[in-house]
Amino acid sequence: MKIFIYPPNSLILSDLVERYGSQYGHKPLVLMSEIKERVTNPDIDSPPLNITEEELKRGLQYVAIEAPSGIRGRMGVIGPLVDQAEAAIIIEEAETNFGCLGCARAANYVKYLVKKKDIPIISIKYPTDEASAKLMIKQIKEFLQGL
Amino acid sequence: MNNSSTTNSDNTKDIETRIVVLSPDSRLTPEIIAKEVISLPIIVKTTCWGLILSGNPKIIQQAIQDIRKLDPHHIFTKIRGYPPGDPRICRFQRGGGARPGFHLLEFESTILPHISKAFDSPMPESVPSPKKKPLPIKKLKKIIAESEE
Repeated sequence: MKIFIYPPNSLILSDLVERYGSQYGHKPLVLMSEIKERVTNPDIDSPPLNITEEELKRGLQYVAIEAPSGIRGRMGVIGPLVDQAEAAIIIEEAETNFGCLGCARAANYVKYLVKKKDIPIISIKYPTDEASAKLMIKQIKEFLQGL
Repeated sequence: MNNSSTTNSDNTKDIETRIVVLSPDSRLTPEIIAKEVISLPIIVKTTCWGLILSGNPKIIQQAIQDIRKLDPHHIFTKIRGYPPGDPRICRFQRGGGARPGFHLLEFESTILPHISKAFDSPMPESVPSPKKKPLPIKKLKKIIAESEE
């Protein structure tokens, strides 16, 4: 199964899904593979990130034209990942989602789209100590086993 | 001309780039883990937080398995979009600033020691669920009565 993770470039979630999910055939859907397709393509139109009008048009499938271009651009890249998702692991209240780099509105919208999809979802928080880390790992492990 | 571009395109798609991040509390260093894979036909780049590996996906998977054997609980990996040494995200050429994705990597590296410790110690048998009993109506009435007096 394809597991959508949020934040989509999270090292911890990507590693845990590969660590515990690979034996069940689960694969994390990560932002880096989408970026790779854009930056290693020989036909680069708009270097360095190669975000072209195609991404913005694709973003319009998810948000209205009035939405800021930052959200549209993000949805153009992250939206197809949500479409492919068969299950999702979401970290709530991640500090990195907020601010100029994270775009809290795009984060909220991605979470809304995932929750609207009617797929198995687990919402967790970043651990702050060893006990909460144990709980987080156990929850993810049981979620991946149960899919 | 077309054939060569197709071959180039296929080659770039066949190459996988992964980052290997060491937990800050690991006893290993990037140089030690680099020695494990330096003989493989892949690009290995050491960084302050671990390694960047790039090459054939099958060899990369083998390299990751070899590296993980050294310290499975303190080594974490994920895919990277850009190839190693890419001038488009080189901080020297861009005039400073963090690389794309660095801020989340920096933030998550502070959590990795907790995750590593959780791997090291046995997992709890059952997830403790916070079950709170609702306040009985009699008790609530008593509280209201007391507060009114």
